[in-house]
Amino acid sequence: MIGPGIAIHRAWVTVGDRALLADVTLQLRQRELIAIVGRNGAGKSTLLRLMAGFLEPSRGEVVLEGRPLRAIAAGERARRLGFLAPARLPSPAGYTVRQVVGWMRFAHHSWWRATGADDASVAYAIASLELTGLAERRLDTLSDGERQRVWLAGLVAQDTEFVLLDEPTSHLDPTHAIESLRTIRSWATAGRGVAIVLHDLDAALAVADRIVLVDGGRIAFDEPVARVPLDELGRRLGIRLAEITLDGRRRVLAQGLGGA
Amino acid sequence: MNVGVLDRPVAMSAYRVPVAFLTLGLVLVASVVVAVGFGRVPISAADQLAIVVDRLGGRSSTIDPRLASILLEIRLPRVLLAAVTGAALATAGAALQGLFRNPLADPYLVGVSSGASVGAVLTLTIALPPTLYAAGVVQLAAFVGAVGAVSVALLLARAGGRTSVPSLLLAGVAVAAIGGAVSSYLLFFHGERIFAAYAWLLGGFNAADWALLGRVALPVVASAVGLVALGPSLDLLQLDEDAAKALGLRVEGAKLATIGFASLATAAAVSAAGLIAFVGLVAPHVIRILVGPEHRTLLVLSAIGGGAFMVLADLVARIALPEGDLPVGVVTAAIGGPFFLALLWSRRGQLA
Repeated sequence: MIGPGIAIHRAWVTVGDRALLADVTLQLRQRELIAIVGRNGAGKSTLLRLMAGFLEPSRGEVVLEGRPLRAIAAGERARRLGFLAPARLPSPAGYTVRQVVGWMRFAHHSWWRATGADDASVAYAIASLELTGLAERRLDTLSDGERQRVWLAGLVAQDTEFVLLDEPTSHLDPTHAIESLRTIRSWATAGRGVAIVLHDLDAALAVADRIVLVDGGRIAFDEPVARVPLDELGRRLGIRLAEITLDGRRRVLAQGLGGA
Repeated sequence: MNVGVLDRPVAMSAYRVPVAFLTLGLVLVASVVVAVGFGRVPISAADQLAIVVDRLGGRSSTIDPRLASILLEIRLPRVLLAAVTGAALATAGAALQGLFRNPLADPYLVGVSSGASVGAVLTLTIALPPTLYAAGVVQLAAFVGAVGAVSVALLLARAGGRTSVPSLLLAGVAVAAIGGAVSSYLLFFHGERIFAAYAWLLGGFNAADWALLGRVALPVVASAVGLVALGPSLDLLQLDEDAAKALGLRVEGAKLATIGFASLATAAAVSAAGLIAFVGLVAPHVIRILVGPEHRTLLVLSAIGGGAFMVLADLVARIALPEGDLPVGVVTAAIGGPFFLALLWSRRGQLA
């Protein structure tokens, strides 16, 4: 019944007598990208943290390739599953880009120091996000967009089968947002399993294979992009959505601003 | 904001770290030689070397035996105790600044100082048999008080198997206040002991001998090794706890180990030398400016730099008041304060 990848099976997360997540079932396989959408407070981040193993379900279970996530040691988990909430990360003063990307190899080397292989991974990750020129710069002197690329480079260096990202494009201008989403999409195409929490519905429909709508702690629907019911999506989010076709692709606009 | 200054690279040059190691190492050795040589009877560096080599080789010395005894029984243990104490405070300060992500953190933050004071003041105010004082009861009580205070703060800050760092900070402040009240109460009713207690609180190395040095050096070296090993973990803790966990760090273990080692080193240092101000706060900042914030390097160099600074501070105390006991804590604060202000001025906006 429980398939490959990260699988959540009928999980509940409760704090006191309040259910943050109720009876949630979800699966993330390799080579696919799912976008988790929903209102603020709906439980999207809780869902992502549950998949990352930071939360224990009070009922139900979370498994990684058939093994309960809680039974997997911290180091192995970090080698197989990456998690990042870039908008919530501080940029500690004085560290260079190369040092910070190097941290993402923590679970790959001994507790004491990185090896040549780690250095090579870091260099590759930095190059793949076109950060080579900034490698020796201090993280706290970079712009938001540059820093965003540093965190994505970190996830490349961490080199995990699965990647969980909470709002990777908040704080980014449209150029950097599109750039970041392209990078993330390329990971899924190359074989990683990726889940992102996203507020931009149009972007979600453009990059994801599946859209998961979380509403009131429950999964309202989990559908392939082509079959996403826009009327229900709009109703659950409390906005009117308009659908247009642009360059042969289905696009979604939120209505409500600008008079009409 | 001065972008030009901010842009100045901090850990750029590949030589920066080795050069800092070499320089600070030489400064430490030089300060030890100068401090050991200074006194009413000066001892030259060559004589120092000859005495130590002869002693290590078990040969009878060709140097004046009085000189050898001054060096081996008085000066060397004192100077080495100063070095170990400085190293302990600076390393603990660097680790706690990292753990709390707060540039104002110092080794005394989580109750160590007030706990040590209660222990020391208690034994100094109640009249105990002289043999107990000779056996080091004040140091023992200070050590027990320091460890006890940290344990109470830690207990208060832990809930559901997790240690909340902000709660630990607040619990430390509360424990410090209670400890301060107890010490003040004891001193108020034993006015005749105030001078002895005050001199202890300000810190110094008058009690130094090889036995005390051994008792302090063992926990300090063990803790320093532990903290340096935790260096990469402290780097990860500069991110939020979720991110550190996602990278494979056992966050709770790293936090507890850091607090444990830092407190052990500080308690050992404080029990032997009193509450020496400022070294644990300032030394790590200076090192960070030299080599950047990466903790492995920062912790090792803080130990070397803090040791050298303390040896020099004690030397200044001995020069300033040759016949008496100027508490070294007065010197560290008097030198460290203006130095730190000058540093802040030249690096405006860069330290935090």
